[in-house]
Amino acid sequence: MLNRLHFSGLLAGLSAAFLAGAVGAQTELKVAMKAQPPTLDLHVTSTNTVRNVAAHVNEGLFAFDSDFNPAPMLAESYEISEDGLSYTFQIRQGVPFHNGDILDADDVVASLNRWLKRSSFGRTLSRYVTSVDATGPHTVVLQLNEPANFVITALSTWRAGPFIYPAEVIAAAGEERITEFVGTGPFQFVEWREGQEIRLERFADYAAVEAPADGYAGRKDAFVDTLRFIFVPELSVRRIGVETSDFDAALDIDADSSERYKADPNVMSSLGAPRMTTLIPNKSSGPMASLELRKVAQAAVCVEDILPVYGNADFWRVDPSLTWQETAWWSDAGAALYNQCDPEGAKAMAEAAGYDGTPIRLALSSEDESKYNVGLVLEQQLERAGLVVELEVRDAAAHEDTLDMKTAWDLAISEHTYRSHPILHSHLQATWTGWWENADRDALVAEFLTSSEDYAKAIWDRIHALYYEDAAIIKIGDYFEHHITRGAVDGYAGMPEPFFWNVRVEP
Amino acid sequence: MIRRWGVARKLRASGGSAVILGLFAACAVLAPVIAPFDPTHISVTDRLSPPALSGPNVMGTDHLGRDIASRMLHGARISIGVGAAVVVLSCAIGVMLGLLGGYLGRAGDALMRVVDGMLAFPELILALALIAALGSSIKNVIIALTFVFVPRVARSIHANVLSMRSREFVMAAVAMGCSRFQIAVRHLLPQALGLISVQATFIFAHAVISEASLTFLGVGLPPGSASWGAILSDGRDHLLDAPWITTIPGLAILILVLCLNILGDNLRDGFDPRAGNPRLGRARRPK
Amino acid sequence: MRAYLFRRLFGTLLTLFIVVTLVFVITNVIPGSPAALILGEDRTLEQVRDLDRELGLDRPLPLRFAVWLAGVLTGDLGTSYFSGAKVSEVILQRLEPTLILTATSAILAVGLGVSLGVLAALFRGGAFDIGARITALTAAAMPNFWLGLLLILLLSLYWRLLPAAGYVSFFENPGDAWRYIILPSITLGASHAGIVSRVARANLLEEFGADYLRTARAKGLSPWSVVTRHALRNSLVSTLGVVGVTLALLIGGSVVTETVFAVPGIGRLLVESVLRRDFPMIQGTILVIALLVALVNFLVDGAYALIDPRIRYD
Repeated sequence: MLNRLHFSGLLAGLSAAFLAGAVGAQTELKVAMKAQPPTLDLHVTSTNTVRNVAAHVNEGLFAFDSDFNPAPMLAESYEISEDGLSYTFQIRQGVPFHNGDILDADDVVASLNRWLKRSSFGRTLSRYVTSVDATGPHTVVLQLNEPANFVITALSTWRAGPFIYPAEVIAAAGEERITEFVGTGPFQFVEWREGQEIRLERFADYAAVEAPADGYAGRKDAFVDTLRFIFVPELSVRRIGVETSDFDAALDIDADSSERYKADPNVMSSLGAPRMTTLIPNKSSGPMASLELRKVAQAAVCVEDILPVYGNADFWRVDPSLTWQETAWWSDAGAALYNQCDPEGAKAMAEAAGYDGTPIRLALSSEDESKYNVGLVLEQQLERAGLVVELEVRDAAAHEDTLDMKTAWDLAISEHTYRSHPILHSHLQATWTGWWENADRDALVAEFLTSSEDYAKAIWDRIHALYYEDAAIIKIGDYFEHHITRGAVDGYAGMPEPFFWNVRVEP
Repeated sequence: MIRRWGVARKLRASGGSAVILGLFAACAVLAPVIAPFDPTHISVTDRLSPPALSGPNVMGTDHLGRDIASRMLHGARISIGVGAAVVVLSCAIGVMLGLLGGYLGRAGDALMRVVDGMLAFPELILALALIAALGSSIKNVIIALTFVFVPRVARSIHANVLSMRSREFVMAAVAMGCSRFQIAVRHLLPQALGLISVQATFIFAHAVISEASLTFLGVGLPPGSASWGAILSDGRDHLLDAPWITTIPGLAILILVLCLNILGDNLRDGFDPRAGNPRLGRARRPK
Repeated sequence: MRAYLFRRLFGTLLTLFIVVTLVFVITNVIPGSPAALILGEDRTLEQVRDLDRELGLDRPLPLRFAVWLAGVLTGDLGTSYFSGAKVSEVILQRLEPTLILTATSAILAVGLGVSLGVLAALFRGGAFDIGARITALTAAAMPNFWLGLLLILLLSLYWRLLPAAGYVSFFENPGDAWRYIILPSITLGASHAGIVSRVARANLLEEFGADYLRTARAKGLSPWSVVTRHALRNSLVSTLGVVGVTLALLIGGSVVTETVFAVPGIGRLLVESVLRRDFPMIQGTILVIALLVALVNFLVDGAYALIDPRIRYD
């Protein structure tokens, strides 16, 4: 061990000396990620890979601080009218885009309008929005048709969030996806080498906010000249790459490896975003449309026998809530129905419900290993309760297509990404996978979104209980993503989603 | 007769391979009886325990706590089963096409053109496209790999038929008024049997490797299936922390394929030193 | 000769057309939605329908094929559903690593294979022969990706000699590029080196038994010059056919190696495109790969004809 450390230290020193001699003070940070993003248009997609890269390039009006409260980013300040129907935003002045344009109200209006139309959250918010207008060169007014308490939160979101692009870029894209990746962020887009890497560069004219760095908000500095996201499909190779200093960071590494890095000063292991694993029944057709059978599944699940697939106990937690512990919205309403682990009782319920052995189709993607593993364990647990489960395995493209068809599946597994506010959960919408149609839920949600903040939590608890009573979603537990960085990488923040501004690489 | 004696000698020389192959086959047949555990039984609390001769899991457990020894034994059934099925199917269809190609005149030529077209396609990519179309399952892997090897068998049988057609005994049969069908089945097929058995061993070996590669690419058997290729592919994310998951199936595949290749080499030397390896497709010899 | 060339060309074009049509039909009837993959977990059916319209996936299949074919005839392969990049540019970009990897592996496979095979034949039955044969057989029996991962473990992690993964273009940084190509080349070339060495050995041994060699020996030529002047040359001619097929196999076989070593080659492009149903990209890539393989086969046949005048063009 000592030998190896000594040797690698020598090598690191040599290569640093070589770099310094050859290319001057240029610094570079290489991040190995599993797959390339499907697009870099932040309004359209909610996938992780896109955000991980493009959040360095584009910024929104607000960003979450380390406590997940919205903090101003491109907005300087905002005011809400007495009746709660009109939001007036002052936009920061003199903020340059990477193409040389200066940010003004028109860019914000164009971006918000496109986001309201294209993104999944935007569409949720757009039901409450009557107009977005520029009332001055740096003033934007958002007009609502009824008061809504989640506007600022929605504007802070980083997943399919309202990132600001220049108005010309949006006009050029028309009805299609954006292909000029121009933003106001600390890094500018240089090149996307298909299948190889995306290369970003420090944006010299970046206008940082004055507040100190805090979570995703506050001052952002690009301390490295070049930021490269390299696509490395093999997990072991990403790990080895960081151990050998070929890469500075690697995303989505198996949690088991953290043991190995506890004692290794050359590799830092960090918890990434918490995620939530759930079993989604198809409530629109098939056997799972019956509430009794959903209750059977709910009773049969034993989460302690499932969650270890995510690695050692540091990387998962038993938690009944459908909103995260990290937020004020955590709830245990209805939790008595969580983790019942009662196969005998479930079996009796299935018989009482007159279950006739109709096979229940559990749809799985062969490309998503952790969901697949959860599915294998669940199959065993459900069969113990007397249900007949058929695994249907498809590749990701076919699997996702199947989920979009109401009669093609009965059960699916979801790993929800971190959300700071209940409204950002897509499963709250009846249009989302699994199609949870429920009039009580609709009435409560309408009340929830327009109530004052003091009452909102109480209403959310009632909605939360409804999830359990209706067995709309069967919660399994939370787990954490795992990222690793080289020991020489300094300033990497312990935020759920990885980012590399304010990060230095020691020479 | 000298030829036959040569085969026997070579077979004795490769007796070691044959014994090992027999052992593997025995594992495959007896798996349900001798496997200590259910190969699909998951026990996440026992995950990633290393091999221990004294413990319950002789070869350790994988990332879901399944017993690797049991999975290897059952995996022998799938790996060897897939290989055998591909061999039988592709040889049967390939031989038929090859004979037809040699004895149908113009239609046969056209048939061989199609076969050539399929040969022009990189095998893994052909299999990949087919499995993407059919979905991933054991049955579809067998179908896809059969599709890959049929043209190769057909090609070499065809070449063999063409070279035999001008031999005296075939000429004599023609003169005696035998039908084309009779000639093909009674005279040409037995002559090609040696070639077929050589090809069969190579196809077997290659099918085992191809199945592993396809599973690695995510289009072979569904993850979690207990084939050697799938166990190897499942374990690769744990290469650094739990190397036994990859080492055991890796060595098993290595030994199986090695034995098959040795057997195939010796068979070929015994029958005809010039016969092609099916992996190399057409035997490019001047006519 | 000219008639032969024409026939070959026509046959190749016909094969290409059939392959491309088949691939179009197959890939388009398999279930799978590129729109769902682009939109991610929060998508709604409405968003999927909108994106399908943007991608042109709401149009009937024959129309889509006609549009694509018309595009190909005018030299336009379309754009990727995902990145929006031009298919032809992406293919050109990703062809380079595959061609370089194929070339280096082929040189390795042929160079190593032929020398091993020739030496094994010369020292037939000796320790070298047995050693070479075991090495060759083992190399051919290892699943490619396992060999690759073990090489990374050994040469990158433990000995720190070579980078674990990635690709650097020879045209941009030749000083660094070779370090990235060594491990993938060994991984890809090893099994083929094994095959080539066995064929080379068998061919040379057969030549040793040929009449003309006995004549040459009788004329008093030294054993060494018999081997180098006569036997080696003739056995190499027979080995050339194997080399051609090896090359064609390498082009397709590089998929696994490219995935292990994160080499942005065309094999991986095809796998990725199939997995995410990027139809224009699948079509373009298949077309180019089929063309390449046809070209290699054609060149090998040509070379064969040049070296060995006994070939008849039929």
